[in-house]
Amino acid sequence: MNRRNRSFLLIVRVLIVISLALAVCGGLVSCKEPPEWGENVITLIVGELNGSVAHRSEPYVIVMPDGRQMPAPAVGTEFTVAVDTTGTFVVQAHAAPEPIIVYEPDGVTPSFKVPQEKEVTTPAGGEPSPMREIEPIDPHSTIKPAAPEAELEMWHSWAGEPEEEILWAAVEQFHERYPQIEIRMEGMERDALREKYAVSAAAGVAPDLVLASSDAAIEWAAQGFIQPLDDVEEEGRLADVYPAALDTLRYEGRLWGIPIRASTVALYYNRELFDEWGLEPPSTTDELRAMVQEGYATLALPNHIYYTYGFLEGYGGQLVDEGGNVVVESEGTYAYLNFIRDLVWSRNVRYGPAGEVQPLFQDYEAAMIIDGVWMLPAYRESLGEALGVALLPRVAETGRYSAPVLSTDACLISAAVSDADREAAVAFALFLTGEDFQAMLVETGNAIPINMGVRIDDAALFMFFKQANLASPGPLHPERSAIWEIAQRMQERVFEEWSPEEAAKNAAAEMHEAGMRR
Amino acid sequence: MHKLVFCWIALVAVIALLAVACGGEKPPPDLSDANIIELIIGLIEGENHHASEPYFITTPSGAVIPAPAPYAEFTVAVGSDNVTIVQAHSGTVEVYAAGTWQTLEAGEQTVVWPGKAPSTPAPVIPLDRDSYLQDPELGGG
Repeated sequence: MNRRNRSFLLIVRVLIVISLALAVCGGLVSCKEPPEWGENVITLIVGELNGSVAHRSEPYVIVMPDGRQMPAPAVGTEFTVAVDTTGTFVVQAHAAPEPIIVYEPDGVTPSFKVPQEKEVTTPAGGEPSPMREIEPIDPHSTIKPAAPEAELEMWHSWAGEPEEEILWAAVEQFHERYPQIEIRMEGMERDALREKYAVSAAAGVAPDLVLASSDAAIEWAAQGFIQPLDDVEEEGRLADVYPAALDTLRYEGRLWGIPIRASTVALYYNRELFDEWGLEPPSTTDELRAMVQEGYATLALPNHIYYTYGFLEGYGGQLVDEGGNVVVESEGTYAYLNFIRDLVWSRNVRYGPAGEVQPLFQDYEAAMIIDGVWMLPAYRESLGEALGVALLPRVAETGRYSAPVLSTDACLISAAVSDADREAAVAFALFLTGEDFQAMLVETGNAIPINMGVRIDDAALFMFFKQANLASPGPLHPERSAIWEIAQRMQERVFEEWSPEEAAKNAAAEMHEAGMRR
Repeated sequence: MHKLVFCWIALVAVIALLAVACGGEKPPPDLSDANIIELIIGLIEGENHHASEPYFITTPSGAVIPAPAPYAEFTVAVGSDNVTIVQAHSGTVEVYAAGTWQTLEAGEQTVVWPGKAPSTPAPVIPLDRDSYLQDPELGGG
C-alpha cells in the first residue's frame, strides 16, 4: 500500500469514527452524561387527565396531591385520573388487562387497586372508597372549588312525600363522596316553607339552600332573596337538563335555580274502554271534539285553566310574555276560549272541581281526564293495567302541540351565602340532577325526571316525560298566583255568555290594575 | 477509482448526518403506538429522569409535548377554554402544535391557543394553584 492510499484510508477511518461517536452521543448535537436511573414523575396538581399505555416498562409515575403514586399501568390500559380542588382524587380504569395499582407515598406499599370498568375515589390522605362503576367526570367539577369545606343548611318542601326518603339517601351518598360538606336538612310542608323562607330571607337568616317550587323561585328572585346561577349553565354543568325544565326558572333573562323534578299534566285514558270501542286516544283537538260531542268517550275536565292552559299556547295565546308584559288579548287567546267553551258544553264532558271529576275517571264513568303526574299512583291503583297516558291533543287549527304548564322543584341558593358555600350548594344541587338520583326519583313512580339521560321503563311516566319536554313554563311572573286567578275568571266568563274578546280584554285590564306591565 | 467513490460516499454520509443534527426539518410527533397522557383540564408538573420508553402529553388545544430529555422539569396547564401553557423550569422542553415545533429553554414558557402554533417563548410567569383556580382560563385576555 503506497503512502497515498494509507492517507486516504486514515481520512476515511477518522470520518467514520467521528460519525459513530456523534451517533452514539444521541441527538448528534451535544454529548450529555448518561441519564441517572429514576422515575419520570408527573404530579397532577388539579384537573383531569386521560392516559393510554402502549409500551411495556414503567415510563412514568403519576403522583397525587397526597403523595400517593400510580406507576404507568400495564400495556393496553386506558385510564382517567382526576384531582379536585380539595385534593380528592379519582382513578378510573376504562380498559385494564391488569388492575391499576396505586401505592402509598412510599412507592412500595400498595394502597388500592382499580380493576377494569371500576373507579376508586380517595380524599387527600384519606381512605379509598369502595370500588364502584365508573361515572363520567365533569372536568369543570375538578377545576372549580366544587367541594370546599362547608356546612350547609337546607330546607325542602318534600316533607311527607314519597321522595323525601330518597332525598335523605341522597344527602348521605353526597356526604360519602364529599365528606368535607355537611348538609343539615329540614323538611316542611310546601306552603309553610314558602311563608317561613320569605320571612327568614327578609330577616337575613335564610338557609343556604332551599328546595322549593319554580313559582316560589320567580317570586323570591324578584324580591332579591336568591341568587342567579347563570354561570353554572354557561359552564355546561346543566347540559343534561332539558331546556323546558330550565325555562321554568328563568326570570328577566337569568336562571334562578337548578331543577330537580318536574310536573305537568297530560291526557289519562282508560285503555280498556278505548280497546272495547276500537279507538285510540285523541291526537288532535278535532278528534277530541268529535269523541266528546258525537261519540261515546266521556272526558272529565278539572275546572281550572291550569289544566287546559296547554291548549291556549297551542292556539298561539299567552297570558304574559317572557318580558312580563300582559299579552292576553290575542287571536290565540280568543281561539282558545272558543275551543274551551265548545268543549265544556259538549255532551260528554264533565267539568268541575278536580276532586269531583277525578272519581268519575277512577270509576270508569269517564274514559279520559286531563290531570297531573301527581295523580299517577292513584289512577294506577284504580285502573291497573287499563291505565293509559297520552300527550295532550295537538291543536288542529294551528298544528302546534299543546304546551301545558311545566312546574319544577328546584334547588335555590340564598343571596347571602359565601362563595365557598355557594359552590358546595351548587355541587349538591348538581348531584341531585345526576342520573343516580334521577333514577331513584323515577322509581317512586310519580316524579318526572329533569335529566335527559335517565332511563324510564314505565310507559305512563315516560309519556309524562315526553309531555314535559313539550311543555311551557307558563307565565313567569312574580305575581303568578294573581295571573292564574285572573285567567281563571276570564275562562269562567265565556261560560257566562261573555265573548272571548270581552273576557280577554277584561282580564288584561285586571292584570294592569294589579300592576303588571302593558 | 473505487477508492475515490468510497471516499465520496463516506463524506456525503457524514455531511447528511451533520445536517440532520444541525436542525433540519423535524417531522411531526408520531403518536401511533405511544404512551399518551391527555391533560383534559388542570395543571401538572413533570420531572423527567430517564428517557426510556418515552411518552407524550397531549392537550385539547392540539399541543403535543414529547417527554423531555432527562433532568427536565416542566409544567403543563390547560384552562377551561382549552388554552395550554407549557413551561420549562429546567432542561429543554419541546412543544408541537399546528405543524410547528417550539423549543423552550429553562425559564421559558409558550402558550398554545386551540388550533394555533405555539407562541414565541417568553419568560415563565409562575402559575400557582390558587391563582389558577381563580382564573381557570389560563392565557385568556
